Amino acid sequence: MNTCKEMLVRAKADGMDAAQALVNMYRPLMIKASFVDGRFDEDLYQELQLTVLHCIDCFQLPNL
Amino acid sequence: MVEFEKTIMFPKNDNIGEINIIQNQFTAYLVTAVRRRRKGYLESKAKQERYEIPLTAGESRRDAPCERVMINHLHLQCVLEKLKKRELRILTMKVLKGYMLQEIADELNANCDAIRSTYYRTLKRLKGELEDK
Repeated sequence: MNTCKEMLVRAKADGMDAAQALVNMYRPLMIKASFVDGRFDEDLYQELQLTVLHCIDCFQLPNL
Repeated sequence: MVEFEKTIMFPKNDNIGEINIIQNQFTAYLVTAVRRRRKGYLESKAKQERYEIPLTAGESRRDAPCERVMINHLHLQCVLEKLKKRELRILTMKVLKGYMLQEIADELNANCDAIRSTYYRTLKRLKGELEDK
């Protein structure tokens, strides 16, 4: 099974599948945040998808 | 699709062990980023709607006549009335309709430098009059 850490490592190494899997994994969070006054905002949803991709690039994996 | 469903099935995260800690850190990082992006998006959208000129169906912003622009600020309205017709037209085209100075010059058959100096002179005059009051 792919762990979040493995997917992050693969996504950071330009793995599109892993990045897509991470976006899918956080889809409920994005859907929830995309509702404005009870209406789904498609533009906001797309912005949030880009934010997730940006976060994958920027997140620094801690050395535990 | 089956592959996707396999990847999202995670065991219960009890925040014990490296994998769970990293996942929780990434989730917290993402939640903050999403919240900030949402706030920024809503603020920019609200700002856009506040200054938006109401248009009729099928009319683009550039086609809307200048006269339709609603100016509620009474004092600003008085100051604008003192401007020459040409100055007011240049100011409205630049500020409210978003034309470039070159486009205004083409439309009014004038030199771009002349339009630029008129525009900045008008702005300076407006600022001066508004600050005096």
